[in-house]
Amino acid sequence: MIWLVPLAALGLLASGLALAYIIGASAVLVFVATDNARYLAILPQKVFSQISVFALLAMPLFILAGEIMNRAGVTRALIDLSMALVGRLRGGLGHVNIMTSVFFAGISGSAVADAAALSNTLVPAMRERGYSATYAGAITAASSIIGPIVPPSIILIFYGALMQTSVAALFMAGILPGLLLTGALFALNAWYAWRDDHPRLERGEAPAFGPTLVGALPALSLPLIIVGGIVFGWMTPTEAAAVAVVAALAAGTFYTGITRQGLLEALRRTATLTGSIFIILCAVAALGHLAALERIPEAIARLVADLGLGPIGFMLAMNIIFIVAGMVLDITVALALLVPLLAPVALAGGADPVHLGIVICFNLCIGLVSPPLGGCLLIVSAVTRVGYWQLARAVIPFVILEMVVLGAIIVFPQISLVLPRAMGL
Amino acid sequence: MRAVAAILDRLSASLNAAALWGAVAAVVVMVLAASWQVVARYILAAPPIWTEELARYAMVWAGMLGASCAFRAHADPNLFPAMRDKAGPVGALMALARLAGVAVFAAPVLYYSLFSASGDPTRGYLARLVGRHSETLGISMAWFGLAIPIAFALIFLHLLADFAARLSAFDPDEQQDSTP
Amino acid sequence: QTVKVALDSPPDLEQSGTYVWAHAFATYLNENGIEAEEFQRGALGEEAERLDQVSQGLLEVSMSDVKSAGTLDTLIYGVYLPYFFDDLGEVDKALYAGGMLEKINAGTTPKGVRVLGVAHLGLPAGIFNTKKPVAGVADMAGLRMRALDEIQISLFEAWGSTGTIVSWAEVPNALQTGVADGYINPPFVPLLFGHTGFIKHFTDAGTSPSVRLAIASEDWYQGLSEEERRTVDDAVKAADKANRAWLEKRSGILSALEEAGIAVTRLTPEARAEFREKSRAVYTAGPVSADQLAIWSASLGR
Ligand code: NA
Ligand code: NA
Repeated sequence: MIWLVPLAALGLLASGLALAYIIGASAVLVFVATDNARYLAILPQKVFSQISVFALLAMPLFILAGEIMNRAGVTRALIDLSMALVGRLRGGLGHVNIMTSVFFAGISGSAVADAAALSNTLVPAMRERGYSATYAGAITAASSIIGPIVPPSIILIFYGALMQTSVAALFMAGILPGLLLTGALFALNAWYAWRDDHPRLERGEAPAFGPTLVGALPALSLPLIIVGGIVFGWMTPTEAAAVAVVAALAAGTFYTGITRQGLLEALRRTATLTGSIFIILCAVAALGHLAALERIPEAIARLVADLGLGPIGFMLAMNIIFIVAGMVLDITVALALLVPLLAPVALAGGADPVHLGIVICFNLCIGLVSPPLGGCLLIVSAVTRVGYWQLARAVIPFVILEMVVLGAIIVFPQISLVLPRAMGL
Repeated sequence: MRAVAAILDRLSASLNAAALWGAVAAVVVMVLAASWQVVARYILAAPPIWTEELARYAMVWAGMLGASCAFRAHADPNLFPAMRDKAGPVGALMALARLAGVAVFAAPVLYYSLFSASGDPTRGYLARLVGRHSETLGISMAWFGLAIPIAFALIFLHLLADFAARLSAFDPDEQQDSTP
Repeated sequence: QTVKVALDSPPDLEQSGTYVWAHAFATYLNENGIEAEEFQRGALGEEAERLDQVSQGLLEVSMSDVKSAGTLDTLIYGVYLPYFFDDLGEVDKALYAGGMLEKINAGTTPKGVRVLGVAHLGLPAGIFNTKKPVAGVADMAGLRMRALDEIQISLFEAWGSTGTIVSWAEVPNALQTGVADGYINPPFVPLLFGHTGFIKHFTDAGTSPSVRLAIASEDWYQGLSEEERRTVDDAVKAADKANRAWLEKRSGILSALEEAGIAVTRLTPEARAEFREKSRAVYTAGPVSADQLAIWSASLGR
């Protein structure tokens, strides 16, 4: 009976049904096939509990902050500054794309918001200048994951909540790994620019540095307010996400400002984007409950524990599980299902909870840009209208590079820990 | 057939517009409640205790209504979105499969919102919530739990409207109607 | 059918009183012909979900917080009245000899939930903070305490300090950064949750018992044969006994706090009396009504 479920799922996939509903329908079918149909009665409460979690609140709020930044001219100011800084290099707009993601990352905690923002604004500009749409989309997706690694970060907030670990420390720990990733992406973009002879911005095209920097100051002050507010204890991380919305509105007044229509549009996009993510969460929650009833997570944890690996070996094994999970599950779901099972084993083996958080976060971010189910790939594909699989192929070199960076972060915990230690967190 | 499709389409469109406004309002409540928490901590002697709960439950409404809007706008992540545009018998078969898929997911959620595991209508999910009160707002949890069945009902309605529109395009009478 | 017992803490027989209860309960059932299985914390969902599953008969037994049962009927909140009980023995006296468990169940069983028993988490709650030693009510001034609910907010006000609501998930961050200065919790909490790095002071104020409930599905309970029900009732007795025996051995926890770098302040009888006096003001400020308070008082023969 149960083997029919994957067949049904494949059929639904081919019919063009959205993923959330395929997962949901498969979950219901598995309940029936495993003789657990009476437990379907938990579904309404399961769905409610899954999405009424306080730590989730940061997600829609950061998405809204990003939407407002895009419409109020804040993102534009960040792009201009990036152009003044790195636009004149060969492959200039590729570098600009990465650099803007770094600035954006300091305000937004969401990779999806970053991917959507730059797909709208920078990808068209890159195409005009002769980059292929596929490359422009791939670098947008690949660099969007700087967002949740550099603070603030929805993923780290959620991990901190699950593991009772200081979010301030996690945030500090994300900075250097985020910059390391940035450097690696710059290098790969430079190599592509050299190989494919990508253009640079001409002298007149790149804005002058001085005025651009002054113009970007209100935008650049946002990360200080948001991250500083958390580190210095003026607000909790979730509250900071709400403050980011207000701050984005305020910073917008220094630029074009946001129209009533623009604000309404931003709110609508936030609601629909949140909705598409929530419905996936709901569907996966149903599947997760079944897995718990059948004790599948314990079996996986035992299997990994029984392999008798050392601390580094265990972390590597755990990474494989998380990368696979990140490819097929939503991030919050992967965190909620796996962290409570695997993290204690890693901590018992001598891992540092802050380092572990950064590793898991980085890892799940790679899942966001890896086929088959990369969330950011899906967004970039939807906005730029580049075919999903075409984009997925183009992003693979970036994904491999990101895995190498992750390896370095695992082997050298100091990269993550030096900043929080220095600040006594 | 065309008349039914037209009615369903109008219903789906107007309910969707209402849901979108509801979702926008819920996002605004979320932002206000969460930022008020920061302001109140430093300005008021006794900060309000209900902001966290209000923000969370507003998020539930925003997310669920947003999910129904995303469904109607075809904005959900989808690996093969082009299959929706397929016409002819293959397209009809695909549409039927999508209808079945959503129905399988939505049906138990809707059924168990109204009935308990043992089929008792007085102890369905919503009925159970009526007797429970939220911790700080002190109002019945049913006001928040209601978001779940409403969203799933809307999603199913949007799909039915879409399906009816597709069927009516196959209606032989209408094919003649549309011939000049 | 197997009895599912949903845990609410790590399976640690040394540190976790609720696990001691749940494990003794499940073990007794398994040894007496009823198959029972423990499910790790969170596997079957968070508090509200487990309550909902219990009320529908989809989950047989769950270790749950007082708040979830409180959403069904507020009488149970009486166990949290600050300084209402002279010692932990009085809690059992009220529940069993005083008939409170039956009265509580009269409110919850129509909604499908039976409270089987009460598990102590450890010594009564005291005051933790990151700033200064608290030896009396006067020292509470200037501390911004993390509050769990409305009752705690009024309690802190009655003590001359302020409360601020912070979700438990954000408590470590709030304490480290100064969003909040302290909290009320049983002594084991900072040890179990790793808060010893930033919590500096503990006052053994004996504020209120810290307990969890073992709740069971009323449908399941009523569907048992008479013999099975007797076995379940005996399992509850065995679990209560194991939990109270474990509690006896918990006095060492204060030295464990000191070893972890948290200074422990013990209250003089006068200081304790002052805390008690100030606390009475909030007895009916929360969800407990004056009538319900009278029922609790009567159960202790006051
Ligand atoms: Na960020
Ligand atoms: Na980018």
